[in-house]
Amino acid sequence: MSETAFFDEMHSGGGVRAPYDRYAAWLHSTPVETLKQRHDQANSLFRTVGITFNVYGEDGGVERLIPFDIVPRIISAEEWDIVERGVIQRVDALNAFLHDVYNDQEILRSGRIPPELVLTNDAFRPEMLGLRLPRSVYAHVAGIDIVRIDAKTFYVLEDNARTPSGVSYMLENRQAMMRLFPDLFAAYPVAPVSHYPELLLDTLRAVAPKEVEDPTVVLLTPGQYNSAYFEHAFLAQEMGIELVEGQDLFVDDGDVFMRTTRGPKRVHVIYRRIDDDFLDPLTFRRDSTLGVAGLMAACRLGRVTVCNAVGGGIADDKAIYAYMPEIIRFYLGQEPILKNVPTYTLRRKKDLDYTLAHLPELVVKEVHGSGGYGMLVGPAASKAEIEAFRAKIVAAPDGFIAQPTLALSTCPTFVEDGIAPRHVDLRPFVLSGQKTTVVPGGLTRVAMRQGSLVVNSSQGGGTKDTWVLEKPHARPRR
Amino acid sequence: MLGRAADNVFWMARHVERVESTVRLLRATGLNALLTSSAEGGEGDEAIWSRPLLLTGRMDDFMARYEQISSGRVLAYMLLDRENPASVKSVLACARENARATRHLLTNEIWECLNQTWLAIKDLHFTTVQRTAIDDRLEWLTERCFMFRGALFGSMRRDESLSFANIGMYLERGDHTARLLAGQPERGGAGDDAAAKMREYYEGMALLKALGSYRAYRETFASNLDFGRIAELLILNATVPRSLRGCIDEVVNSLRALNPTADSLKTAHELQYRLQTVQIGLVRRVGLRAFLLDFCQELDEISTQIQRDFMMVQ
Amino acid sequence: MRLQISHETVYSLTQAASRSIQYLRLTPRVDRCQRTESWVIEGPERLRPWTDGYGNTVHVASESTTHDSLVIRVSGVVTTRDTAGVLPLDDGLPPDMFLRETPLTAVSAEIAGFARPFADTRAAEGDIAALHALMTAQADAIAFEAGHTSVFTPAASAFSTGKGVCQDHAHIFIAACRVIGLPCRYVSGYLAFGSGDVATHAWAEAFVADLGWVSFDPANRQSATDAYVRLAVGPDYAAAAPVIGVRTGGGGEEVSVAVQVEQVQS
Repeated sequence: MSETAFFDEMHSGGGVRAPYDRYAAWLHSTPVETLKQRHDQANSLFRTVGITFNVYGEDGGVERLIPFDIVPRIISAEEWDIVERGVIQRVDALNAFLHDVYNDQEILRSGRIPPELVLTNDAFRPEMLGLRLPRSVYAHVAGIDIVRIDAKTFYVLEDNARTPSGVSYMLENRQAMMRLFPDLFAAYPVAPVSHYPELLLDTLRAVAPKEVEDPTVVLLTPGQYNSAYFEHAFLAQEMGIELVEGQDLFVDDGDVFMRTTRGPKRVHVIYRRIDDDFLDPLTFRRDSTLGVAGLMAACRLGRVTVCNAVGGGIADDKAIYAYMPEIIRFYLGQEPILKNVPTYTLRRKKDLDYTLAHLPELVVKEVHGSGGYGMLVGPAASKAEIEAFRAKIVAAPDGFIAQPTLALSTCPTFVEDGIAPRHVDLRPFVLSGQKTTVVPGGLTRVAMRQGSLVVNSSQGGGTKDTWVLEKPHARPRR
Repeated sequence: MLGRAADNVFWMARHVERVESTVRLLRATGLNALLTSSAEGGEGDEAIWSRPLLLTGRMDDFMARYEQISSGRVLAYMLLDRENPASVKSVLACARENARATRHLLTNEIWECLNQTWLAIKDLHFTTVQRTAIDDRLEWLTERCFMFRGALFGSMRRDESLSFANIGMYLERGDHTARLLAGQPERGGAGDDAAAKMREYYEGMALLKALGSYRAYRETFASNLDFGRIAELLILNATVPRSLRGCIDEVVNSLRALNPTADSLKTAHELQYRLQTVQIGLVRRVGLRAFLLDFCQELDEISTQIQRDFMMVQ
Repeated sequence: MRLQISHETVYSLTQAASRSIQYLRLTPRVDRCQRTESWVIEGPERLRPWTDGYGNTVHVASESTTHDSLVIRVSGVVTTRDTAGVLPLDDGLPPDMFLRETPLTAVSAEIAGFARPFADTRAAEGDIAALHALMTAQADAIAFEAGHTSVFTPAASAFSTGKGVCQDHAHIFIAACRVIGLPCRYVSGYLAFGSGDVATHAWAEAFVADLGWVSFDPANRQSATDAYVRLAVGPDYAAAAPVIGVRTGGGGEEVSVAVQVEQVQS
């Protein structure tokens, strides 16, 4: 197959790229049977540990494994430096933006963003207006989806400021790789990631209500039938905090309590993994049984900190995305380090006309869609699919944005007939508490199907371990 | 810890214990059938294989779907029938659900032990298991239950979780022992009838093996197998891990560690006192079965009180 | 106008409840049209005031001991002023955010069909004329009749029923305003000279550029006067409801409400 059209993480210009030098040599000298064996070993490891996601349907839900690829994605220290600075800058800007739109709305008055884009957006939550949050942080945990098109150019494809998931795969993939290939780790200075839960706990504790010295932090899950339940349990276990469901919490006199075997116990920080809509049936969806009645009162009284804050969705909205470079300039006075994909906002007539004329070249996404659903990948779509999507766009252009198809880089991947290039992206996880940090690495998602550009696990995407190589001099081990 | 989590840990241990009891029961039934069904005056295969169904209260459901009692059908039903809530597969599924709900509180050893057991059995169907391999499966399951307990006691911190697991395990165990004893046919003395003596010997052995207490009997009494003594051993002997006394002692200890003023502890204490003071001869005079069923009711009461004391915080 | 208000709500539960929590939006807003002289809320075991995103004063009321009834007693004196139904933007709430659709104010084809002609009125005669025409047409189309809807009936179904109470009127009006491109919001409050249920009232406020929030009460075919006391604003009933709550246990409930809004001398 042709490998020329796309930038490949391992090979370029007929040679092996520097970060992969030793790995490539190892890979080429390792028989396919050995790889297959390790691949199977990895699968049974993941099953035993129970790293599965739930799929609903027949038989009341099945537990599936997300395909794991044993070939790591390797990033040099210099490359990581760009990514790290870029995502931290981006998340700092996102938090400043959120603080602003829920308080003074300077950016709307400045005219840098059309006010109605925020104010009439369903992701904007007036329930948060005028509320001051500890350290003014809204997106305590953010996942920034990055793709690369050549040696130097990284694009941000999407920001995730609500309840980004996948970090457990970053951690478990590393565990598995260390078990499967101990020799490789001896040969490579791979930066560690396993202190992430500790950083997360630090972050959560750092945003506790002011007067609390030793805050009680809990993780709020929708329950064990949620597709990301494994991750919730995993993080709670790693942090040594309680994994609670809505039914375990209640609000009394403005404080949040959990029901323990020794009676009610006050809760100060809630790392929630349920959507805004379900958080408080007295404020949002009345029929929600996943949340806690009275939570918004506790939140606005400053008795509890909800992480991520309610209303963060306005920052990762696809319509706002187009304005991210402006947002970074407005709040930080800096030029964006990571590029934004040029975005056509179809509520604009000019953009709509262009998009309709160029559908076969573009990727079209629903503004409020996620997980790779409801999108059209023009170059990979049939004529009929394009026409069907055209009708959807014409019916409600406001609901869509369009972007040129990016030449996502590929990374060698173990597939049925050996090693072949597959498209990848990268989601580093950025934590914002006392300061903004990111562990060196992230979740590399890989489109397992040949030619596919969709890396979402709900669409058959897999994951890889991500190796960020340490600079030769500094090597602090945790 | 969360009340809901305590409830799940309690039931996780209880369900695993139930798996072990069921497996032991099936193995002992097989043994009993092998040894006595062909013997003169024996109960016959059907009567012997109906015992596990009666003990678990599943007779009606079984008959409705399987129509006839045979060793194969009862094994199929009690081991791998997902529609039978008392089957090993169903109970194991519950145990794993309980563990999943409290995954964050369990050590990896416990979770992985349960998860692997479940993964090995979840796609297993009776028709694909070789008849000759059934005994191996049962033995393997018993080993997995031992491994679970080993992981529990070897890896968990000595805190609330472990206490609740302990209580769940011993309440289930006591209940099972009592029901198994209560399910024994009433016996007169075997007298001099050699065949009857032989039968009593084999049945007694099957009962003791079902409760893992055959050696304990041998070590305690220098006499032939005798149902009176078996009952005494399994009810009053605190050193036997499956005796009622042994179980209630453990429940009392764990409850005391949790909360010395809990209502459930008071009830457990009274029950313990009763076992400390009762004389087995007197009990036999008024009926062992009534005594045992009353014991089971008391255990249910303790279980309910534990719910109220620790798990249903309003 | 100086108004003395007393408002008692009693929920009798068919079974005892172990825990209850409620949001009470029962405190007059701080606005140009009204000033609160005295105000007391009592009844619930614990009450704690907070301010929601719309600037409403809310009390979170909680009961943590077993109870078979819930009582909320509100009383106080408010002095109102007639502002010809117009309020400026003092409350700091950007009008555009009230253009968002909520489940209770979603536009149906029927409502769109009903409201669309008023877009022409708006173009030809201006916002105020269009809004008044809309209010009158709506009052003609929807009979004020209790018993056909509940507080959680969406505008669309109240409109097709052709009957409803003040909440329904407010919801339909808000939806219709969105059709002609005007932000509009829900107001809950008291109305003097009404008695019983009628004294707790709901109406709407539409935003007119250069003027501010203009009130419309389609149920009474008028804009708000000094007989109106504003308690809470929001995009719909769900956000501005005087009382909204959940409880653990309690079975069914019977509600009895006694409201009096009387003019008193200063």
